Order: sequence, then structure tokens, then C-alpha cells
Amino acid sequence: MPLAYAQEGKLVRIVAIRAGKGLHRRLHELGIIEGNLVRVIKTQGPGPVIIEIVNNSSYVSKRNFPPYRPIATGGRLLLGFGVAMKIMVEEV
Amino acid sequence: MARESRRVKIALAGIPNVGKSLIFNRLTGGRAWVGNWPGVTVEKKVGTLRVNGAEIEVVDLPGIYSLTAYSVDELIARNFIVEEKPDVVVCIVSAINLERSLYLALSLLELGVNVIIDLNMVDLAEKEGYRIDYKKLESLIGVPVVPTVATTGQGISRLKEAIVKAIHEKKVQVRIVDYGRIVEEAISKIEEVIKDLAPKLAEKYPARWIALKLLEGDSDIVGKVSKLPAGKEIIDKANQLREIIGKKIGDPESYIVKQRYEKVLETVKAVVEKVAALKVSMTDLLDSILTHKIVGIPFALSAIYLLFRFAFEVSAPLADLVDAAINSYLHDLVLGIHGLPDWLTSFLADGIIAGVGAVLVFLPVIAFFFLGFAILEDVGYMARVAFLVDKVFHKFNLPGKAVIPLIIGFGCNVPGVMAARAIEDENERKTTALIAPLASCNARLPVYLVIGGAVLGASAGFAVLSLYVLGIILALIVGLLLRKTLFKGVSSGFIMELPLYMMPRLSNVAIKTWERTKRFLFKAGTVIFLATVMVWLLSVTGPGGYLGPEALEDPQLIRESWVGILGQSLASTVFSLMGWDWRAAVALFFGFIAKEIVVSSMAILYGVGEEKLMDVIAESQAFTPLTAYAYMAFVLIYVPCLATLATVRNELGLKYAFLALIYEVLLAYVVSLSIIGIGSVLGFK
Amino acid sequence: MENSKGIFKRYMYIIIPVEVVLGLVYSVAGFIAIINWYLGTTGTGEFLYSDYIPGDLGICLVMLSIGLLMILSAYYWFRRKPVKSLAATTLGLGLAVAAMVMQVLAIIASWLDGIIVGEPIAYEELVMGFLRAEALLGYIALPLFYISLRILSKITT
Repeated sequence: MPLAYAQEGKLVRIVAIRAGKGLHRRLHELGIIEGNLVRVIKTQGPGPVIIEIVNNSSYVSKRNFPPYRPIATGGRLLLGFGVAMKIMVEEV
Repeated sequence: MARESRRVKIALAGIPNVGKSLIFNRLTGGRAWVGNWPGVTVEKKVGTLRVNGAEIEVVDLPGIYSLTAYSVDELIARNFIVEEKPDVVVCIVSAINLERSLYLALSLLELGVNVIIDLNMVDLAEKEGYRIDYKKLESLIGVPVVPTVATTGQGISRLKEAIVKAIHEKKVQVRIVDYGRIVEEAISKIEEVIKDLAPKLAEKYPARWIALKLLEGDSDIVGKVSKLPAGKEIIDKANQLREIIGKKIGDPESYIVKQRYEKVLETVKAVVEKVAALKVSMTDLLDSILTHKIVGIPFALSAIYLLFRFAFEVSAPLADLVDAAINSYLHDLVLGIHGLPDWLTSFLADGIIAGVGAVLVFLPVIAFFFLGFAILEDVGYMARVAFLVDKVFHKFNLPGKAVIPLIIGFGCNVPGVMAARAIEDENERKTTALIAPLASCNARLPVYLVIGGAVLGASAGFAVLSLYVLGIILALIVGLLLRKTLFKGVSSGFIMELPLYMMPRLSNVAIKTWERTKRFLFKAGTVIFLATVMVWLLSVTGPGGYLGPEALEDPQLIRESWVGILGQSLASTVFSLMGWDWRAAVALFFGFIAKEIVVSSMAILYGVGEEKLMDVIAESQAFTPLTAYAYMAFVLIYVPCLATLATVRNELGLKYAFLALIYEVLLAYVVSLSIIGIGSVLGFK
Repeated sequence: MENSKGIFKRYMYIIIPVEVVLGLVYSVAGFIAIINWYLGTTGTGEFLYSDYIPGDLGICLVMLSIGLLMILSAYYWFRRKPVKSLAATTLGLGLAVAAMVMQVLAIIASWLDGIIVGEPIAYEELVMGFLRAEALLGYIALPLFYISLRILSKITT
């Protein structure tokens, strides 16, 4: 399904990107790569989305803190409706 | 052979929102020469870093994510690096946006640049609960890493030292990313071919980099290579290898980018350490409310309303101060000078001083508006606004990001049109630039207030509000039309970084405010000034010769001036359907030059000072409520002021400037007539 | 760390309801503002609490937005999400404080204006300006806002 329809709070994997070379490349360079995980922070669903690129969460500490969330070292991205429609994802 | 004493040059690079402008300021002391990169409308900032007695030129590269050929900004940066060979490039990496900023750093390293990494915003990372082992990063990447907190200045002196050191000790890491056996083989093969057949090129760019770009299919490099004598051979070889890679692992370009990104992820994992208990993020929490489906928009509208209040009401005393100082004090002062011929006195007082006054009176409102806007922007809120409106805007085939130039346009259309540059898609950018003038700028407000106040009485406030709304609605509709016709294309949507919420930084806010206000002052300002003088000239002369400054005060006399004649002919032809009299018509004509002039020219035509204008208009019965409203709408829509038109021409070209001119006049005409038409049918007078 | 959070949590339970009630007062004021505006345009001239509540659509928008935020807060409260609830009230109060500040600045500005232009200043009007609904409620909101913000910053990064 397109990223624009993903549910808030869910972790999704990027399956395909249906875009021209320029946009495709730009998305790759921002971390939106086929096979990568992404968390949907907010959506106007269907509509624009705010996402966070998830880096395998392997640096969430193994210590016993209640993990409210893994460390996000990359910022948040806002993807407009049009772009969100071009990115196909599946729930994880 | 004597070395030419070349000035030492460094460049600052970084993705957007990493604090690059602040670092630039800290290094150069804030003074910079601002111009354009040759041939494009992208801003170039150059400053001087003084350290250890030496003077180093600092060039601020545009905010970019990478060095591809897909974007003008990136090409500019790339070409600058290759042609002007800066001694050092400081890549500013944000500790809270590691992956993307490091990707750029790697791209720079592959280009053979002498990079040092400025790890900025480490304080914010600490707040988010993690720390970056910068020494480890240094050893992994192989170039110096200096942690800084640009907002407080921490680390800046070490950064300066590191820059000086790096100028003398160059470090190059072209092989920083390993692409795996298959691709690396291909790269080596191409490298050989290049070194054999195009040695000159290999001197300019690292051979490995060229090989990579050819495998990626970079249009700029492919173009450059094909122009060489041996170009075809090289390109054929590259394409051959691309096909092989394609069969074995997939699209070469995607693969290469992915590998580069993998390297980034590896590096980040290795250098980040958690230091605090994880808490909920403040930004997250606030965002859950501010981007809330139901509550988000009312909040945004309220914020904008308060911004307007700040701009108009709080700046009022300043505006009146300026008004008193110039239009009263200075004006009367000049009138009191003896021994000058009448016409000169009038020229000085009613022409020049009135002209200057017209501009400066607006300055406080515009400055305050931009100040408030810059604060909201610096806090990080404007990105959220774009998110909120995107869905609606999408229906008009426009990106949510377009809302920002429109809001800026409420202050003054000139920086509003320029703000459209931020939109990546060319078609969308052009459309936004063309509809931005429909945002009701500050200059139109006096017209609404005077006419509305005179004729509409209590409903004036509501009428004004409706005009602002009308402007936005029309902007969206026209935008949609443009997108269906001239600028076809599906909305590619937009991508925006969502920065953490931060306390606004005074220096950033001050810079942005000044830059936008400056545009108004110098671009719009000069035009308004000249226009006022011209109005004066055309009011005191006529076909019958010089009429004397008395014309400015005698309503009968002024009918004989050029201005009067013009107005009467316009009123009896073009505007007859709308029932506007000749004075209104003339005012509109001059409003073409600058909308600020509409009120002052009306004042001249009625022969009164501006304070009395409202009463005079009310008495003269020149307008009925309906025609008055239609008039205000006309002022809203018709023709962008000359300064805005000039800006459109600058940004988009002469063709589009004409387009803007024509469509707005037609639209204004249509809308005014409809208002009168519909209004009459509905029984309004 | 956990302990101080506990203390703050207790404050939260008291503060949030107070703030929500304040927000509801804003909503009421907002509605009255709409009524006044309507009365203003139809020219009957009979306002409700006209001294305190202007017939201004903009202020009405702000006050109703505050009310809306407080309702959202109450919603989160009853859904057992006190942190989000606090965030909603804090933002609502932030808006309230901003509105108050604008009003105060506007009044000061018009006072300065009067001096500059040389008109006689109607002090009674100025004082009434400082007592206008959004200003008056804003004075109450200010300390509450400050407290809420402190609590929030202790709980979050």
C-alpha cells in the first residue's frame, strides 16, 4: 500500500518506489530505500506523512530502561501527499 | 616556479537545518557579501575568516543533500569545488540528523575534497539521550571531527584551529566506501580507461569519482565525457559495465547509493552511545497536538491571526512616528524654506518627501510582520503548517509547502514570490510564484481601511477579512488552473525536514527578518518612491501647461491635469460598468506602479490630506457599499505592483511576468464585475 | 529521577483539571464574542459584556481554539494519557498567553501612539484595554502556563 495510507505509529518496510530517476535518487539519499524500515509518526491519512527512519534499533540500550522509543539519530521527514503516494510499503 | 599567491579559500557545506548559517556567522563575524551564483537565482554568500593574522575567504554553499546532477543547487556546489578548488570544505554534520548529514560528507570525500567535519548541535543530541564518540568517528572516516554548539559558540575556536591545520595538512579519502567486488572491479576498469584516454579529466576530478558517476549515469559527467575526443569509447565501456552490473545485482545507480548509505548506517551505529534514560521527546509530544487532525488547523489560524495583530497593532506607534516625522515635520519644514521657486518647494515637499514617506510609513508594519514570521519559522513551526495544509493544497495540485510563500506574501509580495524558490518541482515552483501576488499584501490594507471605513461602516472589518480569504481562495483556484494548463504535472509532493522545536535564536531571526525587509525597502521602496514623484509631476502639470502646486489642493483645478484627464477617460470607458468615478480610476492606474500609492493619489485628487480622506469620500458619495467592495476586490487582485512584477521577471522570465500582468488584470475585472452583478441581483446597493 | 517525576505527576493531576476549566471559560468568552460580532454587524449596538468582550472575529477564533485544545486535553485525560493531556493544556495556555501579550502590547502601542500623534489620551479606555477578556484570562493563564511548561520539560527531553 502507499505510504500515504499507512497507519500512525506503525513500523513499515519500504517495498517499492514508483518515481522518476530524480525523485528516486533523492529518496534513496534521504534513507528511504527499498528494504529499509520506517516508522510513521503522524499522518493525515490518507495524506502527507511524518516519518522517522529506523536504523535497526540495535543501539537501543540493552539495559533495563522502559524503552519509550529507540534513539532516533536522524531527524524527522515530512513527505507531502504526492510523494507519499509513490512509496509502497508493507506493515511489519 | 613561483606559486601565485592565491587567496586561501574554504567552503561550508551541509544539509538544510544543520546550523550552517550560524556557523558561517561565527566564522566570518557576520559580515558577508551576498550575491547570486552566476546564471541562476541561487544565493551566494561569501565572508572572511580572520585567524592567526591570515585572511581566509569563506564561501557558503547552498544547503544540499548530495552532489548529484539532479538539482541546480548540487551542481553549483559540485562545480564550485571542482573549478575553484577550495583548500578545505567544512562539512557541517548535525548530531541530531546524523545519517543524512554524513551521507553528504561521504559524497564530498568521494569527490576528493579535503574535508573536516563540524559536528554541530551536540547539545541537542545530549538532550535526546545520546552522545557521539567523535574521536571514533574521526578514526573511522579519516578526517578531523570537531564537535560544536553553534548557538553558544562552544567549539568554534577549535574549529578555526582545525581549519587552519587542515589547510596545511590535506587529507583525502576517495576510497571511503567499498562497493563490493563486482562494482569495485568495474570501477577499476573504468579508472584505467580514463587514465589512459582522458588524463586531463583525471587531473580535474578523481578518476574513481568519474568512474562512479559514469556507472551512476550522472548526466553532467556523461555530458562532459562525451565531449572529449575519446569520450565515446569511455562511455561505451561504462555502459557495458553498467549492463553487466544490472544483470548481476540490479540497477547500478540504486545499488551505489544504497552501499553508500549502508556505510553511513554502519558508521553511525559504531559511534553513537546512549547516555540517558529514554524519555518522551518534547517535539513528539507537541507535534501530536499541533499536527492533530482537528486541533492543528485552528491553532495555526490563531497563530497567524496573532502574528497579524503583532504586525499591525504593535507597530502602529512606530508607523505614526515615521509619519509625523516625515509627512508632517519634515514636510512643513521644507514648506517653510524661503526663497525657493514654488515648483521646487512643491517638488521637494509633495514629491520627494511624500515619496520617501510613503515607503517608510510601511516599513514598521512589514518589519514587524517578518519578525513574527521569522520567529515562528525558527521555532520550527512553519514546517508543521505545511504538513497541515498539504492535504487541502493537494486537491489543487499544489504542495503544502506553497503555503509559506503565500503567508510571506501577506507581508509583502516581493519576498513572497522569492520564497517560491524553496519548492523543488519546477512546475509547482512557477505556479506558486505566479499566484503569490494574490496574497493580500500590507500595501493594500490602507485602501481597504480608507474605502471600507468610509463607505462600509461597521461591516468594514468583516469586509477586510473576507478580502484576505478571497485572496487565498483565488490563489488556490488560479493555481489549480495553471497546473491543469501551463504547468501540467502530478503533484510530486514535497519533502521537508521536520526540525526539533527549538527556542528561536536571535541571530537567525534577525538575519531572516532583515533580509526580507530589505527586499521590501530596496526593491519595492525605490519603485514606490519614484511612483510618488511621478504622480506629483502628472498632477501639477496638464495639457494646458504647468498648473502649479495649488492643483494639489484644488479639486477643480486637478481635473485639468494629466492625472485628471487620464482618470476621466478611464472612468468613462473601462470602468464605467463598475460605477467608479474618475478619481478612483486614476488611483487604480497609479496603483499599478505601487499599491501603496492608491490612497495617496486619491488624497491628492480630492485635494485633502490623508487624514480627512475617509470623511471626504464618505460625503462625496463616490462609492456605494457594493461598488466600494468591488473596488477593494479589484485592488486586491489586479496587477501585481511593479516591484512584484519585476521580481516575477527575475525569477521566472519576461514571458511569465507578462502572464502575471494579464491574468491578474482580467481576473480582477471579472471578479469585480461579478461582485457588482451578483450583489445587485441579491439586492445590495 | 523517578522520584522527582512522581512529585511532578502529582502536580499534574491537580493542574490539568484547573487548566481545562480555564479553557472552558475561554470557550464561553469566545461564543459571546461571536454574538457580539453579529450584533455589531447588524447594528443593534447592544453588546453583552461589551467592555470585556469585543466583537472581534479574530479573538473569537483564538478563544475557541483554546477551548478546543482544552477539550482535547480532557479527552486525553479520560483516555488515561496524562502526558498528552498536559501537552494539550500547555499549548492551549501558550496560545492564551500569546493572545494576552498581543493585547497588552497593542494597548501600550496605542498609548504611545496617542503621545506621538498628540491626541488627548483616554486613560479609561486604556485601562479597559488591559482588562479585556483575553488579557484578563491571560493573566491567570500565565503562571499556570509556566508551571505546566516546567513539568513538561522535566518529563520530556
